[in-house]
Amino acid sequence: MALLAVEHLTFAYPQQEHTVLRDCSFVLEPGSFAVLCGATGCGKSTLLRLLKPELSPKGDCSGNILFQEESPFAWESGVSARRIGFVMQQPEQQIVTDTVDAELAFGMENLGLPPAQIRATIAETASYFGIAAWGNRETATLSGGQKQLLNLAAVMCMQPDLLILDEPTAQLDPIAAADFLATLERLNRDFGITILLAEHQLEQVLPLADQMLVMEQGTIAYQGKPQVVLSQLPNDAPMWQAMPTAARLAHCFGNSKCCPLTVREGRAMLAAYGTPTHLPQKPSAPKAAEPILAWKAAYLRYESQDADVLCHLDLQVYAEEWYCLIGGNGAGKSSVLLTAAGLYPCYAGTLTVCGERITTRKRKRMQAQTVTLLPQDVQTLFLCNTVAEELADADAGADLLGFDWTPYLTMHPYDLSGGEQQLLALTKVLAVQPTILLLDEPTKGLDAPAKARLAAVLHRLQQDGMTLLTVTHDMEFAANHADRCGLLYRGALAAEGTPAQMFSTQGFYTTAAARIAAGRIPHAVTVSAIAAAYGKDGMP
Amino acid sequence: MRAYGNLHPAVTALHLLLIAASAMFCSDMLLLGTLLGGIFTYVLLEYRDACRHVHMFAWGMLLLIALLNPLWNQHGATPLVVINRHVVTLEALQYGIMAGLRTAAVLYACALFSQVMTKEHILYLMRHSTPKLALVCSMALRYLPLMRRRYAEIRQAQLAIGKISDETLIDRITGGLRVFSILLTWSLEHGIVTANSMEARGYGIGKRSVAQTYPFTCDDGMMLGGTLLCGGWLMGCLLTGVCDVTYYPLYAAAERNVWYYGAWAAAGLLSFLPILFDGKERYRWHCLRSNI
Repeated sequence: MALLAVEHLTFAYPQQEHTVLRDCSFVLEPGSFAVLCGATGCGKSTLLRLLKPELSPKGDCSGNILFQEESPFAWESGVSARRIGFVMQQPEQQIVTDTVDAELAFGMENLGLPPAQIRATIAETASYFGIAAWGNRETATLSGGQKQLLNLAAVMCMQPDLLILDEPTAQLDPIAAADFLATLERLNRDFGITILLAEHQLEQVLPLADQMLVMEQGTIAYQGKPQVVLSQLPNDAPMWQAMPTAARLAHCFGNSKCCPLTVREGRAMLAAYGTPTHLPQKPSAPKAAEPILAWKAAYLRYESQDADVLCHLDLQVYAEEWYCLIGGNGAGKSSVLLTAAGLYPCYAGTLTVCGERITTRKRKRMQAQTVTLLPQDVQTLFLCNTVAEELADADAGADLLGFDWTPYLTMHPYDLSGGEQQLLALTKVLAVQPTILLLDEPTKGLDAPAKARLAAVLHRLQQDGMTLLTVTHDMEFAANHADRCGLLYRGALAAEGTPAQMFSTQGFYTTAAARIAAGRIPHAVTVSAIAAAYGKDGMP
Repeated sequence: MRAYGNLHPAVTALHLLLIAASAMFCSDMLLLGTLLGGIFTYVLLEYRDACRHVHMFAWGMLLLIALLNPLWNQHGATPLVVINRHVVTLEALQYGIMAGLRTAAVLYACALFSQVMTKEHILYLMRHSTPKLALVCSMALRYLPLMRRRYAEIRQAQLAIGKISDETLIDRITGGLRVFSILLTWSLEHGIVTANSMEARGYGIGKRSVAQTYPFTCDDGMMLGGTLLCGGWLMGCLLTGVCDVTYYPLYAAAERNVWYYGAWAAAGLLSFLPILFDGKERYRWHCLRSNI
């Protein structure tokens, strides 16, 4: 008996002709791990919310949703809260209470369970998830990844049969995302809990899944085992951009028979292809140019008693180049941007902007005109009720980025998709016509097409003479687009070079493509570089 | 080792409340001095660093009231000194000292309350009477620091794109308004996510239960018994007027009889209970250690 069966589900929001979901049908067997993917705005979230009666949106709905042959909408109150767990994207806003223990207890308290049972469940759940030591910690002191793990644990305390997750790792850095997904896999393997996960970045998720659902324009276009779906997916499907590196590589090679998903399988596939014919040339050292931003032996700390965040940083960014800073959490990446934007002064060492040494007094006025920062959370920039007012507030021509805002003018900025919010924020940031643009994690939460669009916009700005300094966790983005990269470790630069140099010498902190090519094709760090080595076309 | 600080929250709350209440009803300097002495000694022994700012305030208040009352208040029949045609009387000085002692005792009781009764203790006591309010408090306790962090984040983003500046006072005010307006929209938007998350976990389907409990042990029982006995006796004496003191026009102390000395003993016991309890625990610990 299937755990969940969705039959001919069609849905439209009230007073809208456009149907969000059209004739969706699929079945989840107990213990399966299903991944739901599709472009932004294709109806993934609506579909997931319809499966959970408490969150189900209002509108015209037809078709059936059967949970072990019963409709969840006919259950008594509390049953679906317990049997269907739901984890959302935002780690911070899902948390309700102020301490970890209270958060774990929250769901069970709502169900009115006896205190002894609640405490026993908290104890065993916290021990299983490895968060017992957090105990009475305040939830505000947890990192993003820890918060999301707490959200998962709080839902699992209710012991659901089905776990639905709506892009749970979109706001996490790759290391925290991998930890979170590993926990999900463990839950699936150890308890046979059924998982339905919506995700737009499939590199790490797809190898875990045994079922894949691809949505296109409100309907489930493909479903089945990941390998089967990948072999059915048409060559020009935009979804290819989101697939794991190994699968994209196989696609470039026109290989539809074997379908590698992991780096290991990708390496095996390359081994079968033998020696590459067109070895890439050794990358030339980056051309030294006039530095436009230069830190020399710079030190920064936020409070006099704290530790140094930047510790003897020597970094030069050349004019009109795109520089990417990578590194783990707490390496000081964002702090580099804050000093460049003039928000914090270096307490020792020097910072030179456009050839002028920054002194504390000169700092603000000068830097505000030449340097501007796109913050990690772009919603911190939105002030108005509509996109049109927002553009007016920025004194910016709507065509600054070559993006057509006409259909969005009356919308609230929060109602735009992540990629559109990013572009609107970029428009506001560019209004001061800076020469240096700093970007803090610009690809966070974006799907592959939005990332490609952002990259195109940034390349054009660079051609127009702007210097870009980007901080990112997204190594693939850095490898594909940056002129130079730097690895930051404990407040200082540990390695620097062109992406090809850097990512081919680094063994761990590097792109999946570089790991697939390691030892076989020197200096190939992107899918297109590997494909080119075998004389294939690099798309997609 | 258990201590006064981790007794059952209801017991500590009742104990400190009784001390503060009896100090407020009491007008006898000896009793007030005893109450203050006990609680001050305990604060000095256990919470010296945490309460260091309280000492200055409490003793300063005592001095201030004791000195200001005779300057302000001209009741009383025994003149001490005349300052600028203003008579300072003995009775007013006595009354000032009494009022100062009372204020200091209540202040120390409150200081100890805020040290001993943590947020969890108070929420726990509230949960049984008003579970909804307790949840609201817990949420508010999370939201306030969150908003403060968010405010700083928005301010930084707006400073970085040159939309606000902090050079002059006017700049800071208009900038603050802009940041606050963004914060408001953000909070409302993200409140929806929190509401969804609450609903998804079954909030509002029925009566909530309370997970956290504090066990009521033998120690708690003893302490509660002591508190009720001493506090009850003391309050009884105070309310029946056994310890009433007349200050104006002539100072007349309460009659020194069995009832009065009983009340004094009760006040002493009540205010020294924490020290006695901790002493008992220390002794027990000491015995256990020496037997290992």
